[in-house]
Amino acid sequence: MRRLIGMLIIGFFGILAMLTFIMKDQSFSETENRYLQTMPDIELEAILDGSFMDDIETYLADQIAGKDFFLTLKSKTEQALIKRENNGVVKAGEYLIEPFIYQEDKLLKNLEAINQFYQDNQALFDVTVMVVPNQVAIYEAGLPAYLPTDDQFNVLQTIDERLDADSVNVSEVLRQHKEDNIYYHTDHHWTMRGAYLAYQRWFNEKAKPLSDYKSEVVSTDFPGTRYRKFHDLTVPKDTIEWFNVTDGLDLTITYSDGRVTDHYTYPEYLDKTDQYRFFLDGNDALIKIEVKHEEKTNRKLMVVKDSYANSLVPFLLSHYDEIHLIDPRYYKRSLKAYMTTNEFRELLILYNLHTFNDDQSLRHMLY
Amino acid sequence: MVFSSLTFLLIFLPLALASYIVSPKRLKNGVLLIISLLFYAWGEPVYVFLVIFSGGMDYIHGRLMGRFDERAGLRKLVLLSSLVINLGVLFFFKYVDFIIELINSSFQLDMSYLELPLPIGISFYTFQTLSYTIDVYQKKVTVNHSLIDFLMYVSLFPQLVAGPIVRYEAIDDQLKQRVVTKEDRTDGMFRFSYGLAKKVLISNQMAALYEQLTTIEPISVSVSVFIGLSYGLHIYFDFSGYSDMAIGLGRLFGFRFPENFNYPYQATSIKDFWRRWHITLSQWFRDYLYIPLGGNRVGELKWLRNVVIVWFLTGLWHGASVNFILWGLYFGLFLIAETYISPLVSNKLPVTLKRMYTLGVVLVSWLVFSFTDVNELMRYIKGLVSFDAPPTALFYYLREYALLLVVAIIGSTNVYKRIIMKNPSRAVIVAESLFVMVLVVLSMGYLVDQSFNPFIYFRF
Repeated sequence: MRRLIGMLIIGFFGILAMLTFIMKDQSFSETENRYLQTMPDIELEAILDGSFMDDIETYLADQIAGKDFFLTLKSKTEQALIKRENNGVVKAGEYLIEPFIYQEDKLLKNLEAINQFYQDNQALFDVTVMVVPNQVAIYEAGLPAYLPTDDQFNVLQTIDERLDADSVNVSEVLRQHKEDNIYYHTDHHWTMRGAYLAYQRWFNEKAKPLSDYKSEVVSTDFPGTRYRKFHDLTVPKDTIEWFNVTDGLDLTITYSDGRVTDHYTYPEYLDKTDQYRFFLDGNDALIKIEVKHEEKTNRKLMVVKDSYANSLVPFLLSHYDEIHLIDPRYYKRSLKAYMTTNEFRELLILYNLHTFNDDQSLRHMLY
Repeated sequence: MVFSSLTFLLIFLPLALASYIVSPKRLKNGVLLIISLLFYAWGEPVYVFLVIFSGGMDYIHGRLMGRFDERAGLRKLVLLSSLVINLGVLFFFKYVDFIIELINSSFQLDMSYLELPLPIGISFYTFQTLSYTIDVYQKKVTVNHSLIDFLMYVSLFPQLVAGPIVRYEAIDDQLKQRVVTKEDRTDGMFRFSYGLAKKVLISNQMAALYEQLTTIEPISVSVSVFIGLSYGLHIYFDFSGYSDMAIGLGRLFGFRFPENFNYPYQATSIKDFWRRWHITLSQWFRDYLYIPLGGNRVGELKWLRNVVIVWFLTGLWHGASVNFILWGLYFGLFLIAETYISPLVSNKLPVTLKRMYTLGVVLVSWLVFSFTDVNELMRYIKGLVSFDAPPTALFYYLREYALLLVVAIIGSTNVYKRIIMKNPSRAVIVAESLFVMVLVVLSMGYLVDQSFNPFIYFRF
């Protein structure tokens, strides 16, 4: 028996290697939403600096035969060891959640930059800031006891107090509606329902009622970003609901690569993994949306944002002739220059707190 | 290359074994030499020449001593030359920047650093080759005339990067003549698998726990204690797991390497601890430094001096940093204390008490070992006497790792081995075999997930 197992072990290694090499390499992983390491080329330089060897190790981890089996096995083992966390994600009730660690330095720098920008340009721009809490704050009750995570509501309070520009505090309204599917269960984004509440909070009575829009479930098998980290196949996948806000609207959307389309949604992503790209094809440095209303609104909105905005912007379309979206992670020029050249007066800075807490790119465009 | 990598397990190991098995007997050492150099070159494509240089020098020195068999003076000179070259290379790569740093900070200077990466395993293989020239000088072993055999000894991949430190005399006969039986292959594979599981399934998790615990503020006694505990389990499973893998691999190629760990956390005194922890290193220092200095067969003051020198250098061997020196001297202090305060090690004391004393001392030592920044270290030492209520984050992590901590603590004792040994019935053998297979598959799962997998010997 021992001898048999001894041979099995070495055979296991060898056969696994052979299968991995025989199987065709995958260049992109749908489940992980990233490019995979393919077989590296043999180059003297890469060998001498060791990068070839690192690439081989990554190649094996990325392309190994039975990868899903091994990843699930690891996730299951962690659970059997009564661990609730896998790759930084914990399960809290029905939600997969990432803890929040407050990075005071970075966040205060972001606030300062916004305040400075506001003071310098008070005469030119109307600035509104909306920072959205994450699941970790809203579904706090389901979190494992003593999970080291900082209180997002406290931080949002600080933001409110310190901000000179107008801010829209959406904490309370989201908390009240936490049972209404306002966040995805396995993804880090909010849903259109959550985004609607924030829109309503901002526009008050001018907001159109949600019942005006036809709702449609466009996907029931959305494996969110945390689903992919947590890697537990027994967690149910998410549902994506679309409120048909753009019905009857004449849209012209221009992307930073020059591509022009007339639709806000991209159903082709719904059979893939990264289904949040259904909204506006994901993130781009600069997206210009023009809306032809029967009667011009004569309003233009500049939005500086992360991906949370992609669920909220649909509700804004009926209020503006033009909405331009800038993602500072990819857009590296001056915001002021852009707004002046293009004659914008209204500015919305929209972030979720996880990004706002960690972001270093926003302040570099606010000069 | 490290053993706990997919490259090693899936590609290197099967190919190395296969090519060794198919090569004809007289070529086996040559094949093993090439395999070993490839192994080292995979992680150190440039420094592999340093290993060859080092081994070549010691080979020549050995031959020279053989040539000057009758001329004591010349032999001494050759030994001296070998010591200077070996220790010089070690000093140059490992300690020069440290010395520059000390000088810079003491005299407010700004000398530039060499900033050379440390060749992996240099401390291990330098000590191995030194054992050869010193033993040849003392005529404990005969001169090796085969360059291939000798280079193979120096570069032998199982113990090249993280020990055990295999002395030449321990392996002299095996270099020339060895057979690999079926038992060797099976036992070797089992031993390797246990080592792999210790490293991947326990040590890496304990390292992750340690990392998380060090983010907790404020630091009080409970935090410091669990940091020491998690580091102690991490380094034990890492280091002994590595030794298990090395010993197992050695057997696959017919070698019998000395044991390196013997359940050190069951030690009943610090003296006992060092008979069980990194055994080959403490024996090396004993035989090639402590005893030549006179050991304890000298006056009291000289003996104290000897202890201080040996433990200063033992500490320094672990890394070019002040905390490692403190760590070594800390143990020297307790060894001296155990000599003067005999009740500490008295037979009348209950074993449990003696173990608790030993574990306490060792646990604090891991704080010293793990924090290379002395200011940081002092915060955790101060934490030991700060009796505030434990921060809640500590509860979370302990709850998260509760089962793993229990497994690790039991696994660091000889309980498992006693169960297997006591009852070698067929059922136990079957159960053990299946268990080992499961461990290997689980280890693969953790390696594929590319979770935390640190290599801690880069400082050694």
